[in-house]
Amino acid sequence: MSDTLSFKYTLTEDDVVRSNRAHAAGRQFWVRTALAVAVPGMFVIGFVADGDANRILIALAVGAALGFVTWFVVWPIFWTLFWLIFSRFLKLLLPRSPHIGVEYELAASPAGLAWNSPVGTAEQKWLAYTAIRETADYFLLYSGAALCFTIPKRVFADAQEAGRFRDLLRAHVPDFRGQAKE
Amino acid sequence: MTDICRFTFRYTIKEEDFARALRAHTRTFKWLRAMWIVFGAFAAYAVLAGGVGVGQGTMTPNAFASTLLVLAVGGVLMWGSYWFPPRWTMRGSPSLGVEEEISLFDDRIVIQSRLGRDELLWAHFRKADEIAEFFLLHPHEGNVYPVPKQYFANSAELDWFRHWIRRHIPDFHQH
Repeated sequence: MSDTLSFKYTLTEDDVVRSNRAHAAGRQFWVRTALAVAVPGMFVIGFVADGDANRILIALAVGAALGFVTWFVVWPIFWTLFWLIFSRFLKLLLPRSPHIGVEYELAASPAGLAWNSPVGTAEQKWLAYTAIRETADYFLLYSGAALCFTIPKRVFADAQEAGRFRDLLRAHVPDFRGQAKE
Repeated sequence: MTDICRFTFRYTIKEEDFARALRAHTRTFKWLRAMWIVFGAFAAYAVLAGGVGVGQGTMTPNAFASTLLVLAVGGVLMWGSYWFPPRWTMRGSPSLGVEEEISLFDDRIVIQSRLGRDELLWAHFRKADEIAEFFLLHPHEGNVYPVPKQYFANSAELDWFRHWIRRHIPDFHQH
């Protein structure tokens, strides 16, 4: 069996939007936490500033409830609405991207990854990648904090081939985390 | 592909370089300017209306202070969203501090380092900007290749590179 896995694929607008959403989902924790602390915090400060310091326990209880609602109700609604709007905005920009709708030939080997497309070629050693995140439909390749490449799983002929690619990633990129949510 | 290399130079990109280049890239977004104008107009209206309201007794000082606090938090968040992400984007990237070599050919640009090699046809780039310290080559709105000017040997080299970019990327703007 050859050490090199070769695939052809074409990225769609939907691929870019969904992979960016998965990328952002992995980074939303601190914003969500900051909001769940800031909203009740401002409420408690406002309550105390209005001269109701003697009812601080009530303020804290209401603040805690606000934090809970912010985390579990407000944020998921905001996140869903934000992506509904942002994905449309992204789709407005994407038709101008040279990466959308062109056929890529990808070769993965123990030396690294090599791409060939109508806009050029790239050969990157594994050293260039610091992390991999796997979702239900994509492999996301990172260089530092930046999302570098998205490889859709539909490019693989079967689960066995996807497994070989996963093993290659695991062997060469130390920070591999599977099944991130999109 | 033709194999006559017209120009080669080496540079090393640092986190601060990349952050500055990305901020400059962000400043060229018209929608971001529009957002700041809308926010500024809203903030000015809120401060004026609040000040008048406090003066006429229709708004309590605490409510006005809360409005100012919300505006300040909004302003800091908007400024922070412009200032910090460019720095975070490249944090931990193996490309930082690695010497890269750019070679210009008639039909393509080649960027190589110990991490790998990219060969990109000029048709790959949609737009280019020149700012005080960088040339910014854009494949599309969301991506940028910053080329620091400080690594050019002299102004003649800089002029040559500028001329070459203008020839291959028609949408070229000097800021």
